[in-house]
Order: sequence, then structure tokens, then C-alpha cells
Amino acid sequence: MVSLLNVVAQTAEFSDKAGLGLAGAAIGMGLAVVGAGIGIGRIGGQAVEGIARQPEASGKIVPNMIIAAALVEGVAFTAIILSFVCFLLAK
Amino acid sequence: MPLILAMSDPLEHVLPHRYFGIPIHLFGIGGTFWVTNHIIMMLVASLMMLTIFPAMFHKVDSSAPGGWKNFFEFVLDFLRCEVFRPVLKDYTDAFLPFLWTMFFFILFCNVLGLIPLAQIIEIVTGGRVKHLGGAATGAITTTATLAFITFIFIHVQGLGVLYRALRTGTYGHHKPYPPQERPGLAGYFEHPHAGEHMSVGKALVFTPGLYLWNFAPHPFHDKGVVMDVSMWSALLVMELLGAVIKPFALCMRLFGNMVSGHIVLAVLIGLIVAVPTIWAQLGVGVPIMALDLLIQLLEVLVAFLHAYIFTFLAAIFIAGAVAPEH
Repeated sequence: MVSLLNVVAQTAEFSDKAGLGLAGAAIGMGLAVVGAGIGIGRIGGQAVEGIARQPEASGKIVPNMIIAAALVEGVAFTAIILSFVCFLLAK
Repeated sequence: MPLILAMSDPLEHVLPHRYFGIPIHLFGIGGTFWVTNHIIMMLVASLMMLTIFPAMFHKVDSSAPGGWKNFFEFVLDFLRCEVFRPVLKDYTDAFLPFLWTMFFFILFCNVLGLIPLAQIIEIVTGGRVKHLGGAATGAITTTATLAFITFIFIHVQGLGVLYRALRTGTYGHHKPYPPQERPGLAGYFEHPHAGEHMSVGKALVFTPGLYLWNFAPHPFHDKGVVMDVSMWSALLVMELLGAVIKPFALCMRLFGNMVSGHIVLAVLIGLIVAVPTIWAQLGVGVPIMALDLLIQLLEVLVAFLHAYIFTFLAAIFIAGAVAPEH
């Protein structure tokens, strides 16, 4: 982990635009995507499991899955936009 | 050629571009109101709505619809029966105009953003008029305004329904859930002001206070005043935060989805330009263009989906304010 911090610090020095703000924004966006991936993966998995148990209920399960996935994605997008704002503020 | 070079900056075609400014002086604050391409696209979307819907639906016609009328009737009926009525139950027809307008405005704005109008007009006019296109909902000001309008609508309608209930005396009759067998306290869960026909002044005075009182649930209603109010105030803080955060999330969700598709597309096309030789660019270009086509198809789905989700969530929030389930 210490060597990772070294890499981030060296990248911050190397970039003449925004330094640590750029690195922070990039790490923040990556973490947001990890959260979205876990959330939507779980939703998709449970939905498919429900369809496997009762295939004729797939007409009710799939729209609910899509709505739940869009809600989780909304949170991820909020994080991405706010970290982009941090990047713009750091310049 | 200038179009391709413009792709090297991925943000340029999603940011708003100013056309002309209108100086405004309101209550001593001066400044210019810049008309941007997003505002022009919003005007185009609203003009489309104002021409399509009155022209199609102005007379009551019970013959089988065909073509575009069929499509719009299907969407309107699906929204009313499958989406709004399970949520809003008796208040569906009261809030339909607002919710239908919201859905079609967001849908038309999103779909107009999918069409590359800016690039077509730039080629047709020989590079004179640039950036006359774009997703109007891809500007955070648009989505923030829509979310703010929804927030105001939710609370004004909640207060209005409560005022009407206080005036006509229908307020406060709700049965306890789960049903409690307490023979001596048959009417306990009725509010002290239940069933009272209030005058205009008294109803106006009581409405904000009662709205706030019903904003958060009372889980310890039957355990005395101190327990009730302390638990309620903790829940009230969370409910007030939620009332602000939910429209904020609506705004962010719509904005992020609309703008991120275009940015990803522009970044991928920028990857083609970044490769040095022309043969390498062709080699890399074919898979990237195939991927771009798939991403654009996904964007079409996302455009329809997020219009639906914004309206569906707005209906749920309206139902939460207007007909709270005790």
C-alpha cells in the first residue's frame, strides 16, 4: 500500500495540471464504479435466481430489476459527478 | 476535418455553448441571460409537445387509433394504469397532467439529444453554425430545475390535500395497524382534530403544523407523549434530509446518465485519433466503432428508461406526501 501511495504522489508531481486533485478524482470515480458493480451484480443475480425458481414470474421480476439497477446507478453517478467537480475545483 | 479534431476534447460537445445574451435587470440584480444550445433544444422539445399533443388528442374519438396516435395512447395508458394508479390510487387523475408532462418533456429532450443535430447542422452550413444540438437534460441546470419543480410540487400538493381534508372534515380517520384489541380505547388512534370542519383561517393555521406532524411516522404513539415526541423528532430529521436528498438524487441520476454516454463515446473516438499511423488507426477504429454502436444503442434504452424512472419516482414521492400510509 505504501508503494501505491508513492506512485500516486509521483503522478501528482508529474502532472502539471491539477496534481493531487486529479489523482483523487480518478480514485474516487473508480471506487464509485466498484460500488455500482457490486450493487447491480447482486440485483441481477437475485433477479435471475428468482426467475430460475419460477420462470412464469419473469414478466414481473425483470422490470423491477431494471428499476432497482437504475436507482443504484443514480448513486454511482452522483459520486462520479461530485468527484469530477472536485477535479475542476482543484485546478 | 474540424469535426474530427473537435473529438480530441471529449467534453466540448456536451458542455453548453452560448449563442446570444439577453441583458436582464431584476430587482436591482443585473446580468445577462445567455441563451445556450441546451435552452434552444428545450424550446424545440416543448414546441414539439405543444404541437403533437393538442393536434392528436383534441377531440374525443373512440375509433381504434393507428400509427403515432396508437403509440402515444399506449404510453399514456400504460403510465396511468400500470405505473401511477398502483402508487397514487385515488389521486391519480389529479396529478396526471403534471406527471405526463414531466415524462414526455424528459423523453423528448433525451431523444433529441441522441440525434446528432449539431454535427449535421455544422456540415450543412459549412462550419458556420456550431453546436446547435445536444441533450437538454445533459445540462445540470435543466435537471436541477426539473428536480426543484418536482420538490415544490410534492410539498404544495401535500399541503393542499391536507388543507382540503381539514376543511371538509375528512382528516384523521385512520385505523391502527396492526389492529389492536383494546376495548376501552376504541377511538384512540384518531387524531384530536379528526372529523372537524374547520373554517378557512383555522385550516390555514393548522395545515403547516399538521403537515410537519405527519411528516415522520409516530412509532410510539401509544406510549406517552415524551417517548412519542423524542422518537418522532429523530425520524423527522431523517425525513427532512430525505425530502431534500431524494429530488437531488433525481437530478443527479438523470444528468449523469444523459451526459456520461456522450462523454464515453467521445473518449473512445479520441482513442482512435491518439494512435500514430493511419493503418493502426483503421485497425483500432473498426472495433471501437462497433463498440460505439452498441453504446449508442444502450443510450437509446437509457433515454427511455430514465424518463420513466424520473416520473415513476416523482409519483412515489407525491404519493408519500399526499396519502401517507400510517
